[in-house]
Amino acid sequence: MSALRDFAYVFLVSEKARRFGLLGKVSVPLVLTLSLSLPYILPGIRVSPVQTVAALAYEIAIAAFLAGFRRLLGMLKLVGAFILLGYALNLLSVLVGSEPSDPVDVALRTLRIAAIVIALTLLFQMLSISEVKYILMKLGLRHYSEVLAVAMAQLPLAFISFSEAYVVAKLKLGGKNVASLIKPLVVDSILNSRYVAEALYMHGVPPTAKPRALSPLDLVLLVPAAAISALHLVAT
Amino acid sequence: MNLSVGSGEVVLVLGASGSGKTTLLRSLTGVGLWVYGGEVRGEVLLRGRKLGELAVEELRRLIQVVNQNVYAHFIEHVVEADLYDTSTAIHGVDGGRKMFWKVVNVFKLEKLLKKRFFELSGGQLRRVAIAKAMLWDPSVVVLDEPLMWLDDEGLEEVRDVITVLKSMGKSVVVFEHRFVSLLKLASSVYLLKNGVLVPVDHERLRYPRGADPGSIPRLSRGSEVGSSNRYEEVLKARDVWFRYDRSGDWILKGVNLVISGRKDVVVVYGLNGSGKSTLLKLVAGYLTPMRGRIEKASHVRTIYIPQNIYLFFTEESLKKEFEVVCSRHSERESCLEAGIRRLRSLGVDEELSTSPFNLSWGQAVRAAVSVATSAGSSVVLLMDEPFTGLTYADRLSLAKILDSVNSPKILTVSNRETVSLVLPARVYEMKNGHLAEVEPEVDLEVITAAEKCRELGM
Repeated sequence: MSALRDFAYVFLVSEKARRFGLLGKVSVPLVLTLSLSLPYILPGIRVSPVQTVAALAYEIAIAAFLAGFRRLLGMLKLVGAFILLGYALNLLSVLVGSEPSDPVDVALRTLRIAAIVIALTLLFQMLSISEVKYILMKLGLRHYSEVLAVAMAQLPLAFISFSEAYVVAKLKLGGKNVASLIKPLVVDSILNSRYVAEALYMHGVPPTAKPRALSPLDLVLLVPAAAISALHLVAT
Repeated sequence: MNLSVGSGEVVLVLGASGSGKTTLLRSLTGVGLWVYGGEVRGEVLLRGRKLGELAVEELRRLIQVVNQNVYAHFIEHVVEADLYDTSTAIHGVDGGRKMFWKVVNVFKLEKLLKKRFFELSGGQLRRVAIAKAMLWDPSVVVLDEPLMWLDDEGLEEVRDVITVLKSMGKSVVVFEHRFVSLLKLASSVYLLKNGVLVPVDHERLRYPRGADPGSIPRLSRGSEVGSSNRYEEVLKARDVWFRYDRSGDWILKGVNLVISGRKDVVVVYGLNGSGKSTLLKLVAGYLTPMRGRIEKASHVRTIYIPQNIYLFFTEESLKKEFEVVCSRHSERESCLEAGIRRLRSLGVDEELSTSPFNLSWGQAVRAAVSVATSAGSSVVLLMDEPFTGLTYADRLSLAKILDSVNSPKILTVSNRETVSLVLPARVYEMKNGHLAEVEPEVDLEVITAAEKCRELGM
């Protein structure tokens, strides 16, 4: 459950992210995600081990700065579990008739997927709810920006309820059909949404202030990200 | 109904579950009309102005509500960001900054500003939510069950906040089950029953000064507490240590506990965050001790009933709830029949096709107990704050129900007044990671209030 709690923190903005401008916070995760995804998008581009490792190291450094090293370890535990699972499935796929894969190649691809996932989680850790709202508004999605803001605000509570419902279902159902916990969670969300509607009626959603677009510290984020992307081109 | 509230007055509204307290609240604010599409007849006047004629911005400056579910009040995770954004949205940048700091100072929020709202204790969360409402500088503040889920420290925090509101000349309307600690603050008390609001004399609800404690009805229920040694030990925690992170603080430090006997009732009292729920999850086998052992007799099964009672139900009807629990039983049909009999004996008369999610809070707790105890005679019930959200009279009746159930149980409780209502039981206090058996004090004010609630039908 500790791992779940730490995983929940992946989706929470860090106070330290306030030091950066919107440009750095948005472009770094997107640049990294895009450059890491190129081998999947464009045919003929090979996965670069150097770039994958560099990107992963850089992302971990940013995440450690934002969330603290202890919490980062917690997050990595869960991400690591998925990496191992993916790796095992890839290796075991020969049993169902797939072409045998080179274990090194599988490891590299798995690491790359992990790097993409962590890059995307950086968006959550760096962008505050009001900044997400601002971006969506600028994209012409004003209504959705407010809906998303409210949903994001309630997300950590959903994790708490999930933890409770999971304990109940596991003990009550003896480990069978634990997926039934989805029912109380849906009902709980509906009940909560009524309270949220009432609270919004009383407070409204504050208009979104224009966030700081640029900060000198953005360079600290952008330069290594650009270098890592370029590394990809060099390596291929 | 008629109700009038003056400046600086604190009006306390009491009522049983389902008596219409929240509906009244929604009528006062227009939520019932504009959010739920209900109908309000008669007039609601705020500072002499008709509710229906107010624009929503004007309304928000006249009346503010703090819901039962305070989490719903926040948009930004960090307290400072949420309050500051709201304040500047209401008053502009300069005015908003001033109002923000005024509220921070009055409600002593300095140390909470950098925290995320879901990391706050219950009392802190209420304080911040009330402070957020005060950013609008409203004339009227309505608090819907402000003491729900609060421990003894949280209760003190809310009392302090109400005192501040009163001193600021605000009109405060409080809807609350746990009223004993608020009686001294209230200018007037009303009971909501059968759709009518009736004034109640404060003194009628209080333990009469100078009364003989012996004249207060005792809560003896013939429990077998204290005689548990006659039965086999069904569950034992021996020197249990636990923490969530290896580098973090210990939450439990050398905890020992023995559960024995079919009617053993163990109450674990402790403030929020003291480790009560963690202990339950360890006993349930969901968490594993870092040191020490939890020993269970091989035939013993634990069932966990969470604080948010609706999270207990996993099926769409009461009947299916019993079916799913009895599916592992060797005699399925008799298990089903016994479960349904128990449900009826606990006063839940709803159709078996009824969704458990449609039951009132009190009924849902009773249904959960019926379902859980159907799992077999060797079930240990683990109930996390089962008395939350119940009136004093309902707490008494739940205590009796639990006492009648032939399963040992561990109940967690975060306020001393509830402990009085569960007695007799073995009471332990969880503090600084240690669990120690304590001699519980009987709170005569609470017992008196519970008896009065019964008389008043709430």
